[in-house]
Amino acid sequence: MKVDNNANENKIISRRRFFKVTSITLTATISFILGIPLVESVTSKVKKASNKVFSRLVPVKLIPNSFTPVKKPGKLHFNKIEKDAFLRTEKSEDVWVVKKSVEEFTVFSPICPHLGCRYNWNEEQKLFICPCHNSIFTIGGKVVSGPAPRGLDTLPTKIEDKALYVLYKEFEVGIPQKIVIGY
Amino acid sequence: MHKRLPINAVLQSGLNEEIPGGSSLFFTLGSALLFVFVLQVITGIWQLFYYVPTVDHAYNSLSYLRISVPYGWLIQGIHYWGANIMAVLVGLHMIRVFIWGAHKKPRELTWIMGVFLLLIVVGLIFTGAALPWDERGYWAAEVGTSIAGTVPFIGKGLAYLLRGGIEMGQLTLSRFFVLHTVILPVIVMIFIGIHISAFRQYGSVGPWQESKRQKKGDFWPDQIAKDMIVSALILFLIIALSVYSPPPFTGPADPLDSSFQPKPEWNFLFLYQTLKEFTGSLESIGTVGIPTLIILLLLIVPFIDRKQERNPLKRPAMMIGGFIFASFILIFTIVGYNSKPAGSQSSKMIVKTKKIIKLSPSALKGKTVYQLYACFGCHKISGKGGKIGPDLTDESQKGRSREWITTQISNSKEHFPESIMPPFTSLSNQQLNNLTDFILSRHPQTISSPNNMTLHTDSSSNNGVQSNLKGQSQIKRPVLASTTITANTFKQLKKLGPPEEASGIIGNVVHGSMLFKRQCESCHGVDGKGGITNPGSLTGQVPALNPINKKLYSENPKIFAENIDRFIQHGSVPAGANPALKMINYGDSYALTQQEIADLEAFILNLNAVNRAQIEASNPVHFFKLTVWVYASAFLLIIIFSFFVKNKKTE
Repeated sequence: MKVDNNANENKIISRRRFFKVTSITLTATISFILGIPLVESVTSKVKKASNKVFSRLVPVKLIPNSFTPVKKPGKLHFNKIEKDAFLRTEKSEDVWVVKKSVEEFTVFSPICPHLGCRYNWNEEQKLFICPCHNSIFTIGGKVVSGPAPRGLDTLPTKIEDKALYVLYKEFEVGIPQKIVIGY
Repeated sequence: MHKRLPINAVLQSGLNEEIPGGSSLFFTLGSALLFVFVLQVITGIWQLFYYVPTVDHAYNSLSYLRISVPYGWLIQGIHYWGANIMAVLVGLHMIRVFIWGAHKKPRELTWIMGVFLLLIVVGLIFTGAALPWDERGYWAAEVGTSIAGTVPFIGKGLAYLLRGGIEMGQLTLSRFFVLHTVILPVIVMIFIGIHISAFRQYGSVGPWQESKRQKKGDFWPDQIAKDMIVSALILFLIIALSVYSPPPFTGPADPLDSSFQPKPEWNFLFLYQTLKEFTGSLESIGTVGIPTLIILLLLIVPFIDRKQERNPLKRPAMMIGGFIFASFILIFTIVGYNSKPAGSQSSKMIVKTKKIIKLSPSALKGKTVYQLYACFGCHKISGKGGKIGPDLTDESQKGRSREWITTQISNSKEHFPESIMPPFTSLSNQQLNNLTDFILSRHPQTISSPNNMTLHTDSSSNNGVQSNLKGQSQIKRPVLASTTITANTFKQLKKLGPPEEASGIIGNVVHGSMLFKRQCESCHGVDGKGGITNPGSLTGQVPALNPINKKLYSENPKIFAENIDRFIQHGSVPAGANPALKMINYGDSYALTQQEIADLEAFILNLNAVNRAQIEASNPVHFFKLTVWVYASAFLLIIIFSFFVKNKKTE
């Protein structure tokens, strides 16, 4: 190859420079191609398995009425399958169930909306009382006294095949609004 | 700044090196190995974001990484194929060094460090394969640690140390995990450091011809550019393999499964094959002797090959020796690849015994009747068939009359009022005779494989036992679900019970097909095509699984698997007055393990053209197209650039 030095001097590059450019270009190529999976795999959101599943409690007829003959809500335990990434765990949960009539139910989350303690039913006073900071609620979930910023959190229910189902949720505590933070 | 932190100086001393004979593509193998090692470290660390080293979650966590995490498949694929490529590169690198005579004085230490690196790489491949705790990895680890156990004197202790106990278990996985992710990588890094330092002490060996050595080249940028070309191409190859030949899902490890025939990965095949040559008291020669000999040979190479002459043509003895050594490994690898595992002998024996017993012409006709009416759906002969009815293999030995048998076929209730066997009244007298002849023929016994032992073991709970055929050997059957389903609407599906653990496990299609033949084919037909009658049920037939009921089908493998999981776990009773065949609750009765159910589900999905291991998060083929595009642009740029290079000859 004959090269006209005068005309092409600017265009001509040295062998050494060519090798440098080659190295840098390929390093960039490799970094780019590898960078995509490395960054994407830790930054992008993974589709989370939904835990929004109604859990079966018990057949409706087995739940006693909460007002007659005595005013007393029922505490029901159930097992819930939780999916988190690759884990599938069976978790035991409980809820307070208030049966008003044959098919009328109110189900409360067992968590006090003040700071997240578990409240209890006081047989003598016929009220829900939280042992932590003495928040007191009626059987309807309304705040009677104490620091609780809102009433007891109700949970969605449905009746299927004559059994009561509940959609368990967790709410943010300590604020007047009822904001779902988990299932 | 430069004085305080002499990065430049360090870089300069690393990069400024003269290469006798100039840069060469032959000298890129070492750098390529280093590149793949860095890839392994990065993808290894990245996998740790998701992987958990516990026997109950290891497999699922890696499945999750591969299927649900964006580009998780690629990270795992690079690590898997990177390990394979690394084994190839180590071999090529050693061959290159051997031919060039680069192991000779004063570079003996570099070679010896290299042999140690080879051993650590082997250790990394061995320990890494066990980490997914899948069938392949589990059994490879089981065999590997057993081999360690055959080492004279210290064997037992060594196997115990590796396994963390006498048997394989969680501690084994933990130990393999720590070895693979901490101990061996640290050692390998130290040895790489020593190897490279030793190499740099005397520099590149260059060509053996003195004339060619006069020309000098630079490490930076000449050699590095070539290194980068090779490394970039290797990465391209690894990505292509990850996209088009991903590592298989072999299903989670199942220590009870004896049907899995472990065969090592290709890089251990030659050892596996040599091992077969030594049995009995000579076993330790194959397991320990040969590998030790190979390592010793490799270690003493620089001391045998001592002459200063490096030209391979002038040291024919060494070249021939090396060639024989390499051929031995290659040939044994090929033979090992084509050989069948030792466990497959039993199936050959069945074939042999079957050939001995000949059926009479009438019995032969009866055999076709037997098949036509799908008697194998419920009965077993020579180990093949269903388990609902009694095994008929020894029927000729029970001293029953022909009349008894014909009555039993046409009206079973006469003998056993509670029998669920449908009356086969539609058979002609001729057919009935032939069938009776077939049943009363002598049938070969099957060699009982331990596989069958997993069945019915837990059905001994009181309500699980149903003896519906008096006077005959009691058949233990798993508990039947009480639910009746008429149509497969979602509501009715729910009645069966929830999907269980198996629905979330990516099963192994191949193993699933074996299980299907054993457990499901008798009722659902060959390949789930159906056609087996079910007297007393509304449809009169056992539902086909291929194609499956549209209401159960879903393009989403997770939903599809969950739908059929409810049936396999909890069983179902088909609609109808008195169905003879019912779906057994394989999960609830522990007749099948969750792993086995997962394998079955993967197979049934596969029958319906749904891939259980469908990648959810990112499309491999799209990524490969992008890779091709980026690589093409980069190389185009380099080629265009090369036209502007000043040719030395024209200067």
